[in-house]
Amino acid sequence: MMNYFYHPRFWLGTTLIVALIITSISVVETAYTTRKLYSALQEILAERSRLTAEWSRLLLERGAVSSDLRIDRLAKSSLFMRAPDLSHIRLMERDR
Amino acid sequence: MRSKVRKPSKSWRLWLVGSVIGSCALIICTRLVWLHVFENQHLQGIGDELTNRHQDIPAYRGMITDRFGEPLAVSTPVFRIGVRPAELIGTPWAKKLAPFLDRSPEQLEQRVAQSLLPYLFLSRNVTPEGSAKIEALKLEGVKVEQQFRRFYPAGEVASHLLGFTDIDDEAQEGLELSFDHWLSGQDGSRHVLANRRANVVRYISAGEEVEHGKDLRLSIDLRLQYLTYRALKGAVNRSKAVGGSAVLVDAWSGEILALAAQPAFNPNNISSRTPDRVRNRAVSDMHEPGSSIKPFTIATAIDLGLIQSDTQIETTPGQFRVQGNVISDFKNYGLIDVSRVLSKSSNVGVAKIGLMMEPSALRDRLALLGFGQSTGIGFPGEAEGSLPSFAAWGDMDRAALSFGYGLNATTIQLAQAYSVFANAGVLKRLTLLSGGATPKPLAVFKAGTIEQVLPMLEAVTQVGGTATQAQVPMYRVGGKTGTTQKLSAGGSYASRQYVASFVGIAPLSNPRFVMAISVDDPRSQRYFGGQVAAPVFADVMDDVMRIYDIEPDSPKTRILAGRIAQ
Repeated sequence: MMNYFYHPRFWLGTTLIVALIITSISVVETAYTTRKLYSALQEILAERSRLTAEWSRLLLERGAVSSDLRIDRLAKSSLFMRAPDLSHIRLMERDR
Repeated sequence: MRSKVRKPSKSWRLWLVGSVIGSCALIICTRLVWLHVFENQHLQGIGDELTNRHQDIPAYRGMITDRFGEPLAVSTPVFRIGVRPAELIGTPWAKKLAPFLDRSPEQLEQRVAQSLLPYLFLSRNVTPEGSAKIEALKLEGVKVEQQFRRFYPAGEVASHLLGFTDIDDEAQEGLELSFDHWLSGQDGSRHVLANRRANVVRYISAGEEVEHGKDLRLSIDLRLQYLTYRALKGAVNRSKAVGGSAVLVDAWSGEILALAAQPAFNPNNISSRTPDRVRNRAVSDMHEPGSSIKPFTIATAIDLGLIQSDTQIETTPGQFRVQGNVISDFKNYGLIDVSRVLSKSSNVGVAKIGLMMEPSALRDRLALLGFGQSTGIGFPGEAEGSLPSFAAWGDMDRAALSFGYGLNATTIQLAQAYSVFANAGVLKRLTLLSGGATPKPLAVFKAGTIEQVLPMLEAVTQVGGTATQAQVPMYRVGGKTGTTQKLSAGGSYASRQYVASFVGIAPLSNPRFVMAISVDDPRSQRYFGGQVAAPVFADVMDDVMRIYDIEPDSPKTRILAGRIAQ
């Protein structure tokens, strides 16, 4: 019986069996992690696409609110703004 | 203490149990082999169908922005509501759906009743919030689908430039069409495991990677685009014209800062898109440029050493006969120098200068300036214009070409050609992209020639010239008017149909901005280029100078200058 332990083949076989168990567990583990990460990635991508959609709507809203057409109209009608005519402009010499 | 001796069991019982267990194992094995080997594919198919789903990931269409990143065209997800009429019968769908679709239940029912389609869309424009509520109703036969819709925040202002996409977000016109390969992405897909209610349980693998469209940054400055649009629209309305177009260019870089056409359309509203309104007149309408060509005639003659700016030209009696045709001026200007020939726009004077040159000299220069060729900005439907070419040039052909008849040009070609006056004789090709690469600039005139022509162009806008209305307060500007008769369908000149145009540059002490304006068929009493088109230039350039912080260069302004009182 003692003889058996000293036989190199015994150790080779045991090592291979242990290695096989470890790798098969890690395969399962990796597959699981991959799915988990992929699923997380999909959620993040979905979130990104949701945020992009919201951003595009905000851009449009800002575009509508800040359009030159609207600002022009508001400045003239409710703020009574106008461009100064020449007699109201004084130019300064630039310091050289 | 007694010990029990086991009796050996009867052998038939052992056999019985053994064979029952054995046959059970055999049946299971046979079934396993049967399922795995013979029915494998069929069963796999059924299983996959129940759980494996391919999901499409729609790609975004890229955004179009102006040179500073202001959005001009943005795609945003909207939802469409589709129904299967066959599955709706007998359910109170209309009553439940109506509040979200801005229509009465009766209208919806009528819509479905009238349609013969097995699947139809009730609305294509539902917000994400509305669609979530509709989905929550879980109505049989009602489906919510996501799609993209393109919006144009600038509306009418940049309509011709951008073009538009159709109901399925496919490019139809304008830059949307010419840069479609850049803007549109590639839809992706992924593999998911779903349960029986089609909720995603697990993501299995990526299918095709989704490739979103890329953004496009134009050379357009939205502020100037708006000002150009407004000024042009005003001019077209005031002169009761059929249409018009205007192009504003930064000649140093070749970038187009504004490009507008009238009449315009609202790209967000399908019903306003009639072919007449959708046409981008700045690039697809050509006309004889007329007097706007005269500066090139004079520049060519100066370049060839035939005349100087102070060379005297005899225009008496205001008429000039060539090959039986009479070239006439507005009135008899007498003996005038070359500068006056331009500022008075004398046809006789320019024709005489044109006839001094080799027959094809002017034609070759105009070809170098880009006339008769596409500008290369890549706009769909761009007209190339035309430039005559003869084996033997008749005198009348040469004379006509010298004052801008016999060739056809678009407004954008005129703007491009005038960039030589801002670049010391070098032609810079135009681009619609911010920082866009342009072909190698081409020297057409000597720098000294341009120095002589610039003061002549300035004289056009000063008292005694044809375009005093192009003046911009505090700045020196130059330009040339054009008023040409339109060719009628029959090929003869229509007596009362004109194209009024003006091409100008500013500021003259350090020319940089070029603007070309054409107004098609002004019907009011005032139809000259100096009256109709030049004010558009003054209007827009005034703001360009302010927005781009250009130092005033008019000598009159210097006298006004002082220090602010403390």
